Amino acid sequence: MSETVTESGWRVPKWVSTLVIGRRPKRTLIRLVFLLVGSVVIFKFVLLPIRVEGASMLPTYRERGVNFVNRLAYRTHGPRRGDVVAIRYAGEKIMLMKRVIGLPGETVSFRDGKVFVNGSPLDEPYVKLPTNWNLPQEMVGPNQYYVVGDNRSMRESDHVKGRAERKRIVGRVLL
Amino acid sequence: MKKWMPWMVFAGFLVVLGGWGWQYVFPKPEVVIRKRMLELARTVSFQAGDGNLSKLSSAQKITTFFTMDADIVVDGPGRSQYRINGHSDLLEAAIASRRAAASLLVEFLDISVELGASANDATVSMTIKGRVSGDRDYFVQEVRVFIDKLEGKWLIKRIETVKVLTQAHPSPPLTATYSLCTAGAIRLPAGV
Repeated sequence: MSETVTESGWRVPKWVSTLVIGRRPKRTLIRLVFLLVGSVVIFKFVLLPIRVEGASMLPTYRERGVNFVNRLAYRTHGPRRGDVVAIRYAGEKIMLMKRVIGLPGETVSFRDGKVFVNGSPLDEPYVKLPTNWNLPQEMVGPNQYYVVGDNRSMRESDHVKGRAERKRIVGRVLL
Repeated sequence: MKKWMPWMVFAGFLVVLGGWGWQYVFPKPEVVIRKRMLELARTVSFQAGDGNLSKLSSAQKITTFFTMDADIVVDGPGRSQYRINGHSDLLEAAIASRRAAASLLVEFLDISVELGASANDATVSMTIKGRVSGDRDYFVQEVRVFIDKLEGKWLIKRIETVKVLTQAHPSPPLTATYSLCTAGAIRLPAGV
């Protein structure tokens, strides 16, 4: 079996060096650089890796789950009803994760836990926990989206919801 | 290799080192403000094991970050608006928070500094993330901080909370405690 002798005299079996750096180290290095650059570009500018915290998106998204935000989802069109989106605060280190239920120009209200958009009831198969929220009708302004979590079993005043400006929506949650 | 090459490398190294040294000795106002904000976050935080004297001294230290007539307007979700005005109110609030909770860990995230035209004032946007001992969830709040440079020191003159989601008919708060039940998404470092 062939071996490589290092400067310090260590004998490294050929198969180990092949496994670690490949048969052509130059190519391996180029591949590594591409992989690193590609990862940084993808995970910084296209898919933001996130960890879900809190209970407001239960049972759709459980706590501690890892997910991704697709930044490019709304390049050609705006958020759609039913999309789960990430909404930024001052930056993107912490974001809200909510579902879009109201689009610009629509009215949204809650009656006995049921959502009404422009006066018509909204079918929400993703809401599985019991709810009895009541909220008066609210107009969604231009460039705004009404967002709310899937878990409406908690007290209404404890649940962060409302109209989000379009510029705050970072992207759509991928999975 | 040409004879002058090592000298060029050495000169380049000196230029980089000089630039870094210059920025270290004469930092940009944005850097100074950012550092000051991080120092404020550390001062606001307290541990369960801190003694009364240490808690009192850190509460007093908080006031040194603010102008005498500083104004803090808090309008968070699930609670009515309240204001803290001036050093005495601020000290009172800091001591009260240390009495009410065993520990508080505060972080200032996504700090962005916008320097005013005169370079003697600045506006800072940032997200406050805090966790009170015993609470399951942490609280998150975006704030805008207005800062003035007075006698060479950057002092906070006003803090305003920023609403990320707005509601036409917000529900009246039912409790006095700050509880934020929300699904947050924490960004993980690239590569995860």
